Amino acid sequence: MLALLPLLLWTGPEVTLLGGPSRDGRVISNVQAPSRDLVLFDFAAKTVKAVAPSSGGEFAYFSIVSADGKRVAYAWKNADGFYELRVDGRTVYRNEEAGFVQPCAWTPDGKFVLTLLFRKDNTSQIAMAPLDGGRPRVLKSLAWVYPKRMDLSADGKWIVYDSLVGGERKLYVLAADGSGERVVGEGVFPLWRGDGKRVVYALGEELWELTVASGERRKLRGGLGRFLPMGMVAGDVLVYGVRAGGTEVYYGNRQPASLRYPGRNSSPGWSVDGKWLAYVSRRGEENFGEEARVIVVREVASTVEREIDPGLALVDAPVWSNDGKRLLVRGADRQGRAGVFVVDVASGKVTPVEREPGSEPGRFRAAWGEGDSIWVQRGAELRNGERALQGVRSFAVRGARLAVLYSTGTLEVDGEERGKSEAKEIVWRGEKLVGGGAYDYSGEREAWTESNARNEIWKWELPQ
Amino acid sequence: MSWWWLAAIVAVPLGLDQLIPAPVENPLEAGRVKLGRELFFDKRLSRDGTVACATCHDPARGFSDTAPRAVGIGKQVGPRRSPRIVNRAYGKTFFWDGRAATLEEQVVQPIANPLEMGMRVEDAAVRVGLTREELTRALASYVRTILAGDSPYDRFIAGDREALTAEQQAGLNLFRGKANCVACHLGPNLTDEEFHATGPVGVDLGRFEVSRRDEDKGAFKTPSLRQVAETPPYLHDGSKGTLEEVVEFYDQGKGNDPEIRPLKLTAEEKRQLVALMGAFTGRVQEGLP
Ligand code: HEC
Ligand code: HEC
Repeated sequence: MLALLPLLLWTGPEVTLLGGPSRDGRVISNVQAPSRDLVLFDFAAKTVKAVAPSSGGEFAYFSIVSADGKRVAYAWKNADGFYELRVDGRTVYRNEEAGFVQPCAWTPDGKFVLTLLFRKDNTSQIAMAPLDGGRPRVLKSLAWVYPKRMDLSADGKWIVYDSLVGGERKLYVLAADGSGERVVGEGVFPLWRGDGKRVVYALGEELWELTVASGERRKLRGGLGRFLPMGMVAGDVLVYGVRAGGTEVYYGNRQPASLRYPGRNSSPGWSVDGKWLAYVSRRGEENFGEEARVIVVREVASTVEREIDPGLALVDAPVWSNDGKRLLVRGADRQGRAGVFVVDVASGKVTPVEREPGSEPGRFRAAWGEGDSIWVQRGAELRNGERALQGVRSFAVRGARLAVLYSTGTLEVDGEERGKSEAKEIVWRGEKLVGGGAYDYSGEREAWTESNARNEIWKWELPQ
Repeated sequence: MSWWWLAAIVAVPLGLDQLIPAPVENPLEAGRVKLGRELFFDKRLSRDGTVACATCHDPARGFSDTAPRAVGIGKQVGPRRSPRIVNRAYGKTFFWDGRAATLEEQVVQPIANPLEMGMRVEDAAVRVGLTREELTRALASYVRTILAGDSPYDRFIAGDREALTAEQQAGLNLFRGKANCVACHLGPNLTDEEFHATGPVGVDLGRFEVSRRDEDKGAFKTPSLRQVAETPPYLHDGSKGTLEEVVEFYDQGKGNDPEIRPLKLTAEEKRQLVALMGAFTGRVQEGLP
């Protein structure tokens, strides 16, 4: 029998891969980009039905559709700034201490949702959340690297999940009542096949299958690109997402900063003397978690590159120190503490400058001031040692010079008001202030990130 | 390459994982747990019949005792303090230096230790009418059922914002923030199960004796902080008499671990941390229903 080819179901700027299909394969949930409205997309009718529109800073994130395709469970970023679990507009679990949730599967009776809880100390937990508002039952707690995916077998008895153990992603089968657990293989993004005996999962760009009882495995398909299984629908049809395109760092005459890992790079920073470029690059399996990021340091003249893995859970926005020996980055450590860190370029050693448990790295911006002093913006507060400014939108430092853009739009340079600005952020370009990009001290060398990333949703009928 | 962890379904206290890991060779089973419980209190396992596991791991004291360093047969004093043995089912290595990889490996060592119970394990087994294998499996199974949870801290983590006093909540913010305790004391069991040199290196080289790696000199396993407030004295050598002294010790920050440094805590902040640690005391349960 001829195997059928995968079929592209949906692509477009609105597709985010944060949802999953219904069992009958008729609809898929999606958080629309950029509106962040949660919708159900009907594959046949090509229509979109609203489930939970975003409103005033509140929006949906990961979601799953119930077996009958009628209900949607989803993470909801609430007005208090953390994620709660909702089903069809109703809150079923809300706890600031487990401030991020990822619903992964419905139980067959529709009474529980298998959910990941992420605690403030960066412990992730596999839990069964009852829809009647009771306390979730925690089956197992894991250290800082969380499963990329969990799934429940059709009979509701077995959970399969992946977890990082000693540098390798292992697949586990866990009894849904917590009575036992077993390591069954290696890979990521596991999903149960309809027979409840086999699991399909990703290994790099390949789709594999494992028969749990015998441990037998076989490759089903390769060359799938940066894909992630999203759900299994009736008839053993796999629905999966593909991240096509990518993000790239460019400089000079639109020269790409990396040839070795195209499409995975962002956040460039120039050294003061314009000889070095640092940027962030993604490694490892496709995922939503960020633990696989490294910093790449490139000597521009020779294009020689070196990788620094700072061992942080997340790293972003490298800024060179004045002496070119250290990088200031924002990110989060493995205990989930977001903040600002200094990375020694030669040794890769990381020293925290400021850390805040349970916070979001995006709240922080940092820059070197004169000598070794460090300016840290955390939310709307900007600090340098004892000095603190409030109501700050963005700032730019250059040696002793400080420019501050306040939330009111007022721009202040070296303590003097310089009118109003609509810009989101400000950076120095030589002696001028501009609204973005990365420059060296001379203001002549620029570097920037460009993205042509596109998400696609595919389906493939698995071979028997 | 593949292994099962199996457990009987126990109603675990709030805050702990439902999955209680146990090896497939020794799943939790009511009969074995009951036998292990009897053995735990049985002084016949010591050479002179004066010491039981419970002598040093007293259920009334969070399964620890009051001696700075363990006192075994003939009033001999050992080199280290008896740890609280709650929630050890979730442990990854055992002893202060992690020299035992499983509870099955661990539980017979105190019997053979000349400073503790001082008997050949085989002889002890004969005394109680068991094989070495049966003795080992029963003791390990019982230890797996010693669980502590459902503390004010657990209720707070579960979403009850009133479970901690304002002082304790301030302590929790410090624990996670300025005082940096969460770098090592984290997760449901308030431990990373790793080894750290938190203070000056003394005569006991700790983990170094096992790993022979220089950075492990004076490193000990992070203990769970559950029931900590009711079990002074503290640290591997029982050298700190109170939690206040332990906080003072961290405030000075003299250990080699990269996460240890002077904290510059105010007197009030120190009080708040101590108050928080009081909230780690909850319900201790043992055995199977
Ligand atoms: C004389 C006091 C004493 C007796 C008796 C004793 N222990 Fe211990 N126990 C200790 C000390 C001290 C340690 C830590 C030793 C070390 O780290 O080197 C310990 C460690 C342990 C640990 C490891 C805890 C951890 O977190 O790593 C377990 C479990 C344990 N004992 C169980 C038992 C059992 C079971 C018995 C009875 C067979 C027993 N102990 C008898 C003093 C005692
Ligand atoms: C670098 C890791 C690390 C950090 C940070 C840390 N601890 Fe510990 N903690 C340990 C280790 C390891 C021990 C055992 C040390 C020993 O016995 O010598 C310990 C022991 C303790 C004990 C004694 C427990 C007992 O049973 O004797 C208390 C109490 C404690 N820590 C509280 C804290 C507090 C409060 C903080 C924050 C101020 C903190 N710890 C920060 C690793 C750490």
